Amino acid sequence: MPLNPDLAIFRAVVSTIVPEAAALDEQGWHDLHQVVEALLRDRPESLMRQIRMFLGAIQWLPVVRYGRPFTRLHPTARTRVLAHLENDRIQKVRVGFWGLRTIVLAGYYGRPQAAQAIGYAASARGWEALP
Amino acid sequence: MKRVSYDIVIVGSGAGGGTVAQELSPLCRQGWRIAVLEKGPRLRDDEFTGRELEMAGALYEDGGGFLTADGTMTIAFGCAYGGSTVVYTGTSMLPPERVIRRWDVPGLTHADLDCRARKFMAENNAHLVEDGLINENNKLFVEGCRKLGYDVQQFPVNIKGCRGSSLCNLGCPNQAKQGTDRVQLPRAEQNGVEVVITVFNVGNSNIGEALSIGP
Repeated sequence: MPLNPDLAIFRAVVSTIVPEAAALDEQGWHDLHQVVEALLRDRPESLMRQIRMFLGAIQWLPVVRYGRPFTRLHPTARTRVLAHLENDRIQKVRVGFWGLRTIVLAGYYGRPQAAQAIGYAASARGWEALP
Repeated sequence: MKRVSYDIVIVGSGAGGGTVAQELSPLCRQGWRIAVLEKGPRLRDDEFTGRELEMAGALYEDGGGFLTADGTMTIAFGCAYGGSTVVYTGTSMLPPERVIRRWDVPGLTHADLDCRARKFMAENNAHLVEDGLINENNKLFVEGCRKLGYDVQQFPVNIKGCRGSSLCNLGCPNQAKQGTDRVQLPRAEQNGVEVVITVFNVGNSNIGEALSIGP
């Protein structure tokens, strides 16, 4: 997993962006990580560095306002922190958040189980596969 | 290193390159050598699995996550034999006159473009699908729009033998979508055009070669 050192932060971000992720078991997280790993496998190291830096910023910026890091915040405060980044006046921050959010959503919904859960299970058999 | 020379080299095999290849291909009979360069893979029919992550990696530039230079936008476009015609939804519309006028390209008239577009729509089987194939949510959408007074129309799609897989954007696993990979490029190759595929990987299998894949 390319985000191994920041796994706890990453999981906290995932659970904030997709609250349903909090219910994932270890296998579920493993599958999610597999999707993320596949997405990031061929990306340049510079991008990986940026993602890690961004995760680090997410973890420690809340200390200034809340007195504790992101992983130790209540879900409501976590949501507030991410919303702040999403709407930050600095474009680079907004872009960073957007990129991270894309990875998170792809990781969660890229799992076949998630696709089934939301009723999106396309089949090459098309209409024949409909119940 | 093998050196090959061509009289005409077309870059890309999608809607632009693929159709140009077909249109110029009769020149091959007069001895012209024509190549189409395509950096994406040419999958066999059974390699279109419909699995999202697998196909996104195989058929899209940067897996569909191509970023603009300033990083503010991702652009999803095809990178395969047939270019984006392999992965788009099949929606095939005629260019509106106001758009062509706004482009203001010297020598390009709406009438000329419209005529050419209609030719390719016919060639690629772009048509309005029959009522029975329109699903419930689209029927509801049409009904809702009409109730609200909006002008709502069906758009043509270039399909033949669609089985309703909903996997158009991942490369039709049933070969129903009639992109340049199904229509223009095979014809061009029959006439002698060479499609040159660069090296690529799908999963763990290296299925590309460094040079020519001819007819």
